[in-house]
Amino acid sequence: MLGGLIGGALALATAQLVGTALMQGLGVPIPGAVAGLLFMLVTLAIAGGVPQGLGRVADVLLRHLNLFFVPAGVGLMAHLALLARDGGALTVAIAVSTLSGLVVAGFVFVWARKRSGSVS
Amino acid sequence: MSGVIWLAVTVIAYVAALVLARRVNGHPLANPVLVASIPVIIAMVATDTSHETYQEGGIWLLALLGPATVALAIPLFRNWPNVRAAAGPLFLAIGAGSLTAVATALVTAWALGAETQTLLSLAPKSVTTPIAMGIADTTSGLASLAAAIVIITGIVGAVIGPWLLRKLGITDPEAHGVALGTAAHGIGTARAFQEGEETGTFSGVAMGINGIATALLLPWLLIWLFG
Repeated sequence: MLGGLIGGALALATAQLVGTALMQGLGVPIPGAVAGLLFMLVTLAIAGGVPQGLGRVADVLLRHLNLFFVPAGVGLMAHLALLARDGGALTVAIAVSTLSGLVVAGFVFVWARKRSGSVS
Repeated sequence: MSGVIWLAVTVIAYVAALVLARRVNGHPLANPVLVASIPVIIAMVATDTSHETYQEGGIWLLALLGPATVALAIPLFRNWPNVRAAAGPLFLAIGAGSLTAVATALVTAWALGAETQTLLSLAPKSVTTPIAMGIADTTSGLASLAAAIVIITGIVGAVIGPWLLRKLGITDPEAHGVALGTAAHGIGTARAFQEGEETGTFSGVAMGINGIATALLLPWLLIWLFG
């Protein structure tokens, strides 16, 4: 079981490395981790299934995805002065644009799906 | 040494934030990034710790974002038939949501009198931190400002997004996922996984596609707009 978990963690790290190397080699501005995601997806499709250890490591990482953003949240403190730039314009723009993008994406998805007739 | 201590403090604050979130039945306001950051910041101020010292520990957690992003391939593979069946609506929704976010951000900030450098740092706000910082760099925005904007965007989307969608009558878990992933990147996706694996998967897909498309297209749009 432990071997499976270690193997799973290694597989994730390897995929990220391959993705990073590929994108740097090709000079494409896509982060290595995103390229690694695609590489992992292709590998799983070829293998035809998810090894148990890999599945468990992935589940743990994704369940605690928020943890990995906490240092960035703390880092905000260092940039608080920057956010005061241009009065409240920045803050208002962030709130307005985030929520409009979110609502448009949600509505378009529901609408397009109804139109395509594949209502689930 | 102190890096390790701050790493431990961060993990403890996160666990405490999870306990609180469970107490309030996962209420979106109890967002773990927001709730866990506050005691850590207070501890830093109390011990007069610099941001650089803190990040000696924090960097270990940030480094795990890479493998965690790769790990999105696993639920995506498991839910592949659902994602494939929704491919058309998915791409349409991501494109529309992403363009709306960029356009409303630029127009709102510009109308309120923001400077060009602020506008350039604001444009890549919907995508995950490394992509946004890269775009801000290539378009002479401010990378550190872009990173801060990205985090606030994620928290705003994760905290208010699901509630707002429900108020507007959107309850489909896949639509929630697409919306959160398109507008609020990884922090939105973390929230989506709290709602369920299907929501999380669609959020991860939306985040990935939006990230790739934004990295490839947004710099051109900004160069064209701001010359």
